[in-house]
Amino acid sequence: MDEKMMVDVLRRARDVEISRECKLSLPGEVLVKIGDVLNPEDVVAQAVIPSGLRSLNLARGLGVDPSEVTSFLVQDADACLEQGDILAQVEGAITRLVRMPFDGRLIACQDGKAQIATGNLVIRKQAGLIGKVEDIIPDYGVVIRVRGYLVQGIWGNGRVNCGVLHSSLDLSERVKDGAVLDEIEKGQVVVLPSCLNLELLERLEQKEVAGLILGSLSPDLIRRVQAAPMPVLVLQGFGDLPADPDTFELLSLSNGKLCCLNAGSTDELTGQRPEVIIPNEVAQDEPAQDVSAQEVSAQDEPAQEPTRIGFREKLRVGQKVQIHSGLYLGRTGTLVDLPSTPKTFESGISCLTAQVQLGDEETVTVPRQNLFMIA
Amino acid sequence: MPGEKPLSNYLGLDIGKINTRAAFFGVSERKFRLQGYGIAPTSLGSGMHPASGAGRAVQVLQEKTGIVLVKPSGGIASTMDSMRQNIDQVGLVTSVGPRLKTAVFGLSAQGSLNVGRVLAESLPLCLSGLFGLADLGDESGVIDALITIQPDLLIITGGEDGSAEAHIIRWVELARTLCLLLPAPSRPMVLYAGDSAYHEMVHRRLEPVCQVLIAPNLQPEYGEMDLVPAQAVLDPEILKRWWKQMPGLGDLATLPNSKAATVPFALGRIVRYLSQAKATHPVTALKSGVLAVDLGGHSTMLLAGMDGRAGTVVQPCWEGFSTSQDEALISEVQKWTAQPVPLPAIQKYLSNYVVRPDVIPESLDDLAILQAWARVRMQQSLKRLAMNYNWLPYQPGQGLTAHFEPIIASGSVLTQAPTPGQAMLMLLDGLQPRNVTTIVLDTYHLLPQMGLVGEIAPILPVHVLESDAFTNLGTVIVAVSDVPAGETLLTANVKMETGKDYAVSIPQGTLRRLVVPKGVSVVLELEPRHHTDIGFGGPGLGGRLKVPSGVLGVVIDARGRPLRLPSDAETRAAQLTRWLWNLGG
Repeated sequence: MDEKMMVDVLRRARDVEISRECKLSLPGEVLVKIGDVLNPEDVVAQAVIPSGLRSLNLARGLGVDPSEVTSFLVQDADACLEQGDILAQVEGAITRLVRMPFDGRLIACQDGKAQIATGNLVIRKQAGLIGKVEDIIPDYGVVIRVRGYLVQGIWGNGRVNCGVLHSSLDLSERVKDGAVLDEIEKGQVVVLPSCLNLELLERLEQKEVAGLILGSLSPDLIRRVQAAPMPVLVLQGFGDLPADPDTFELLSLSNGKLCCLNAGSTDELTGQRPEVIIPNEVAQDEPAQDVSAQEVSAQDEPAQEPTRIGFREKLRVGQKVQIHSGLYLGRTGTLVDLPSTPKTFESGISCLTAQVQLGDEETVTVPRQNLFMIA
Repeated sequence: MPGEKPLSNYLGLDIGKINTRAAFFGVSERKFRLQGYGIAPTSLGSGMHPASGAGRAVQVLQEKTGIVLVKPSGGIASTMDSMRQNIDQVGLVTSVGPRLKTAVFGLSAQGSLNVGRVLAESLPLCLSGLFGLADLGDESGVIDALITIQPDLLIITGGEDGSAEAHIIRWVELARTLCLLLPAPSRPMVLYAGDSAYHEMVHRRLEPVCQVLIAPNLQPEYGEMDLVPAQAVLDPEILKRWWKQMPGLGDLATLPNSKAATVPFALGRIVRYLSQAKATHPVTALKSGVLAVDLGGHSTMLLAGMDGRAGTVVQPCWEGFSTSQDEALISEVQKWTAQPVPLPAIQKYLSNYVVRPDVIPESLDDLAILQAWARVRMQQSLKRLAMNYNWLPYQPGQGLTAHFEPIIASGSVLTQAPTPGQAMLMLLDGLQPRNVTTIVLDTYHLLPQMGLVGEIAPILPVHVLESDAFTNLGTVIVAVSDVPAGETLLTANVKMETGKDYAVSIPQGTLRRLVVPKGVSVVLELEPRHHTDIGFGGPGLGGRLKVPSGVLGVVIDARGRPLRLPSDAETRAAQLTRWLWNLGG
């Protein structure tokens, strides 16, 4: 087995089953149930934590030494108290007590002072997808299942949003004269072959687009895009790269449909990549199926598990690939051969190669390691 | 322990983000030797089991060597069973997990906060917040910030031992309050490594609300820093968090005959051990140290050991990338690029490199950028290491100002460089060592395993380090002088075993290679001129030096310190290329 044939996979396909976890970063309450059909803005789970912390000087209020205060508390730690509730009390000829001046939760008492958590900060997790609840992650969230288009990219700016896809094959030409901007509307997720100048980026921001899907992005704009309010997904690479016709055709088929753009970073541990999901319509009565087993790669347990495309896969002749180096950076093509002998490149590095037939019939030789598999 | 079977074999697994390596050590002629090595892509991602990547690496090892450790076609369970039965000891080092979000509570910026930061930078931790005395004036603000950060780890430090610094109590209480505010699963673990007088109080106040780790004071006396005990306490906890996130990895680590550590921790241990073993230079009687550098796809690790002390700095590559839009950094990379590559091309290459750091450079330009970036990464990490550890003899721009030998280097940009001369030049430019040193390439990334296994079988690293499992790239003699360029500053009389002796004059500003035939050692009689310092005890002092054969033989670096490069890009690239040719291309 040639281990060097394992390469990173970018999913770019139509009508595929997609399962995605949607969960809070801290435990809370899950608000939906298995089988529920979700819209992107639906809240699937929420957690409540105090929004503030206030200190009450009980020693002064009770007129006792700070070290004695805990013995006069009449509430247990973690008690939820309302304004007016007695917090601490000294019995005697003249009873002295301290009442809660506001609603809150008694957190701790130290050095004569009570620490009170006040207010509620509600952290909500929205679905971010159109789909059906496939599974519940207790206290944290859900697994959402959806069928539709899945297009993954190589980089994202960390933001998430949904909107109507604005994509057409001739955008590439028209974007140069700026005319295309006139037809872009607020709230759309716009597909463009590239963004190479700040002016274009700023005009799109002014249009309040919901997101951007780019073939390529100028390296000069990376930092600027990281601060942009909308998600930006880069499909091919950084630089002025020719647009990949296949991916743009795929996206143009969904022009006008609602799409969910998650431009989060690539995470090797979870297998997550920045991506856009364009869901098919979800039928309310469609039963949720257990597809969790599909998360196992064919390489790991081929005899037992159904085929599922993993984060990395073995290269095969006939497979579509995207090149991530050299002159052909960002270009896609079909893998036509995997020569068994290494080749020495101009750099002097010798390695196993792949022969890739580009769309214009030109066949190029690149290091196997420098490929993404498109599946 | 008495009655325990002595170790006869050891399987080292090294799971990185890109590759998983398997190295098998057995006994041959009464010495431990590397007997086989295999590499396979790391199996990560939802549903993937890291043991399958490890299993594949072992299979590759078996195919190469014929040694059978696991069933050739076994699944994960079978692989694990075989490891349990056929291997005395399995060692797992890894750098695969996410860095834990860490906040430090301390007192002064120059004191405890700084020490806490240095600790965080020595392990796979991501420093997300530093809170000092001034922040105690706004405890609610600190709590708000921490709720936003949601740290995995809180480090509380400060106060010399016995000082009973009252502010520590406030930090402990604030940590307690934070924990009470957060739901139990989201509470951070707390490492207390401050004034030892408060250990009992920390246990009493924090144990009911969170996981508490206690380590000796990071700074028992002002100016004295001891991170090792805290690192030893933290490292297993970091691993436990990783096991939770990657249960398959945990399965490997919980084999009854296994030990595990993070790569920086294991490297720190072996570097410290090596520095203890050779505190003074045998020829010059000068204090000497040991240096290790690992240029990984995702992070740079630089470690220095001297007199039994060791310093580690782990810098994620993308920290550099986040500022790569800064012209200064791109210009710095360009300065070290051995091809006249324009700034935008460098920016474009590095931007795409960060997405896939395993990409192989195809063109000369791409290779030149990658190797220049390697130099800059080393320079940046060295600067950081010196900032963190004030005992490190280093001057900005001049590199290391003391004797470090050996310098052990790993990372594919070095070990898979097209020629050994390229690896040597990257290391010389990146670290700018002084005096006489040996550059060793750790092609198989074995050094972390040596750090891990040394605890169980201390003799194994001794045997392996002296074997050919590590590649001796060459002996470097650095000659530093103020004489004008072109003037001879050193004469080397080369005494060959064959009797074919010869003499070489080394002019200022040059880089020269003396070939030493394989398997032969030579004796060099070094005669510095004009108060040239070659590390033999002072300026103008020379002597004899026996040099073993290495890949490149002897390299005499008389380019001066700091290294000066022409300002014109074309001339500069030509200069770098000339130096490279002097090392054999």
